[in-house]
Amino acid sequence: MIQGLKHIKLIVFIVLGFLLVACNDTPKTVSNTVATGSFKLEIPRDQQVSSNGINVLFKGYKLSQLESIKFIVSGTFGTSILKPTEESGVARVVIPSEISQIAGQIEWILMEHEHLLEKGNFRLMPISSLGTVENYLGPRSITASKRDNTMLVTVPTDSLDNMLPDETAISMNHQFKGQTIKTPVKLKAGFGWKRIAAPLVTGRLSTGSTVGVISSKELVADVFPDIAQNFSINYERTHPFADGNELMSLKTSQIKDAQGNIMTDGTLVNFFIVDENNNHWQTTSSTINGYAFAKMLHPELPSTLSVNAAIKGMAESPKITIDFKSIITEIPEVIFENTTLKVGPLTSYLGQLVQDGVEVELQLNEKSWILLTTDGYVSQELDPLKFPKGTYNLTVKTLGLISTYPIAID
Amino acid sequence: MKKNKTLYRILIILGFIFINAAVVYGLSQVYAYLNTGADPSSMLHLDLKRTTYYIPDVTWVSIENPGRPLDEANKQKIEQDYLDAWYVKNQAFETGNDQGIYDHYTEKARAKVRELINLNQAEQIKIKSTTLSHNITLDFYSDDGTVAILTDRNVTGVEKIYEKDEFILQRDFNNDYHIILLLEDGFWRIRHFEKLTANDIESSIAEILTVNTTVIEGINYYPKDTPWDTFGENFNETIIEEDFEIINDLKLNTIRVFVGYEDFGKASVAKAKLEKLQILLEKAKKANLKVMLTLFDFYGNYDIQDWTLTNKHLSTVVNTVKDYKALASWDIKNEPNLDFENRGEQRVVSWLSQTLKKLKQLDPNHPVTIGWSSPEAALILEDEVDYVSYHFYKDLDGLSEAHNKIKKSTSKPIILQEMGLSTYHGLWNPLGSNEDDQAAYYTQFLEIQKRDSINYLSWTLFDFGEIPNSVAGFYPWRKHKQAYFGLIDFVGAKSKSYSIIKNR
Repeated sequence: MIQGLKHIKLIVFIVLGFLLVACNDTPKTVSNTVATGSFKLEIPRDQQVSSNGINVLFKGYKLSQLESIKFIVSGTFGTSILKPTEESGVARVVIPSEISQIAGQIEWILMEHEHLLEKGNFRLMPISSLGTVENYLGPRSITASKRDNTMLVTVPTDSLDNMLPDETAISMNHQFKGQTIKTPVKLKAGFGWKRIAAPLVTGRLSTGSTVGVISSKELVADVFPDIAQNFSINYERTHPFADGNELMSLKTSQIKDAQGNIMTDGTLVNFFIVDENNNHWQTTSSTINGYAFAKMLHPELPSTLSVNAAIKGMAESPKITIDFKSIITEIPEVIFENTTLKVGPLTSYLGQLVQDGVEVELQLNEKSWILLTTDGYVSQELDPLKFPKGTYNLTVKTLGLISTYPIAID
Repeated sequence: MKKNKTLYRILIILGFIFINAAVVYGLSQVYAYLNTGADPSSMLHLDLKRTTYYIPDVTWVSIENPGRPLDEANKQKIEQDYLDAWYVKNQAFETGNDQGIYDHYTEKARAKVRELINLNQAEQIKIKSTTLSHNITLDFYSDDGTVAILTDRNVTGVEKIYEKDEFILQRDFNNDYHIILLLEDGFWRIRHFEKLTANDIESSIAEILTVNTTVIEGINYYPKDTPWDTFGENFNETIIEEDFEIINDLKLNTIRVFVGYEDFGKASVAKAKLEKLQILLEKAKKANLKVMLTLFDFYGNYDIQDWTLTNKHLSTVVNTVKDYKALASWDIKNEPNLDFENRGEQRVVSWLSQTLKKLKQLDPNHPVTIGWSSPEAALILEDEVDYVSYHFYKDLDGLSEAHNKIKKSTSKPIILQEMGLSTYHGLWNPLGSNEDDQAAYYTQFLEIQKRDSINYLSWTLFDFGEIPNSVAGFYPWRKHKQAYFGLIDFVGAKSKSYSIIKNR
């Protein structure tokens, strides 16, 4: 009897102890096992992207608990919360196309109320149907030299706009003056690239890529001449006289780059003109077919001009010198009638009257006038009050000549 | 009769003047209104100044690439636009407003972002998220500088998921991304974006430190004339030195000092402030005092979009002072539980938790705590801090019980980080305590302290003249109470409590 009591005591102790242990453990474990036990998810595997959404099926579930289930899914662009639906005895979560058509790693978390039941991730890979081949070409204008190149970058996509996997074969092509070069390239990290060395002749380079049967748009780069080489200049004129009237023209040789490509039309050429008194002039012209022409007025005074031309920062010509002769050898007599001084007629190299507007300077003692010719003559009236009777020295300066005459005023 | 006449005259004239004044005033208001509007300088369309709003840690792992060499200016531009792309996307997922998506995603990528946002909008799903670190490798940069291809590895961040304004889940992430950017209209826009891998999340926080076990006996410190502005214009080395002598005289071994988040310049920490903090730490070392540094004082936003900014602030401050000998420990935030009501507990606690993790990364050598305002709150994040701190301003009779209750629930050291009694009695509180009450308070406290061997820091060394509104609010009865906690009064006279602490 006493032994029996002992047994009972022992059993009571064991049961109490067991209860204590069980009580301690219960809160965490129970909720976990119940939840995972009743919900089995067909864990999604790595698969291709899909525009129709992806079904994730529940293998075992309790309808009553379906309400409190949340499927949190996080793709490349962001996260969303999905709810399971039940239809004719099949419960599923549909990952919508907004997420399922974008390639990349998908993380998911299955929650019941605030309890995390399960989580995992899988990969969405691009599908095999091709979409577009996007090409990027640049620089779009290059120079015909060994130093320059352009670059073609190709990013092909599948029909849902995802980058294609590594090792996809693409053909990157370019064509110049009838010669086509196709370069096979393997995609890496979604893109392929190729450098295209600049041709040494000017023209237009076209590029394109193909992946399977899909092709890119055509992109073109223009090949422009390299920088100009030094050139020479020359001049043309109708006569060598400094008549201040005729136009002469300055002219370059055909300007080319080192490979013999003619400079692009519109290249600016500056002409710099200096006379023997160190007076400077400048004129500018743009090239056509490599030639630049500039017009310049003959000087009025006999002089020697030195001219050179330059394309800023690139090329220049050697200096040339141009001589201009005087149109007359001496100044005609001064006529003094009544109170009027008259000089003329001034004649040119053929004996013809000079054009109107040739400058003549008269100097009478301290007083001087600058006059312009009309029909070969200049005239100046003298104020008798300012110039009383007497003898004066008249100096005449024109066309680089100077003469002095005595004048008597009565 | 005559009197009346004069009175009427006066009234009429006054009325006339008043009506005129009213008319003139009315006209001037109309005129002023018509002159308000846009600032005329806005006609100039000047560049908007960039503000810092998103600055996660960015490391460029490599810029070696087979294309064009990447120069610094373009690197910065790519980084800026790429981070902005993240920022506008985070914003869009939070607010549903896709402003900015146009600028930072190309047409096709834009559509993908919008579709997902619309899906979430329809279900009232809101995602608050931010990235915290990026490690960018430049795979390719085209010769003409219009295509850049990046791999961004170990993009760590946090997202909080809400459904119908109800918090569902907070999730850390650590992903690798592959990105193709195109230069369009002067913006680097995302053309392709692909999550390559989802990496495992590093199990949080490094090993718990063994905290120095010598008893902490200390005091919360502000200079007498510049309370809540220790590192301001009037910072003075000699005052600090003199004050530390007083603390030495009190035979205390620790001080608690506050670094204000805005005061130090938010995300771009002011160098001048840091220099003053460094001087204080040097002086503390000379005086043989340990410093508990309380960070983020007066910070109150906690929003996830703010995390990169607070992290930037944190790393600048921590990296500058972590090697100072005087530094004993970090206190992440003073009394953050007071913000629970306004900001929500979840928001505050998740900020504290992530800031703590960041701080541990930056400095694994100093223990970290959070200065909870009451013993009831002390155990929040107990498993993440290195020691538990709380403040106690109630009747000392309850201290022992409160302290031992915490002690039972944690194996970590406990610090009573603030305690004290205001001696204010006057107009706003005629029945307040006086100096004798304070002396009795400290006597009683020291008894309990010795018995339960409590680590403590008292509040505070000085009575203060001027209390900023930001500390105790606008009400004079609160301000005045706050001003009289010191052991030394305005004129520098030591209170009875002073000698009690000194001769403990």
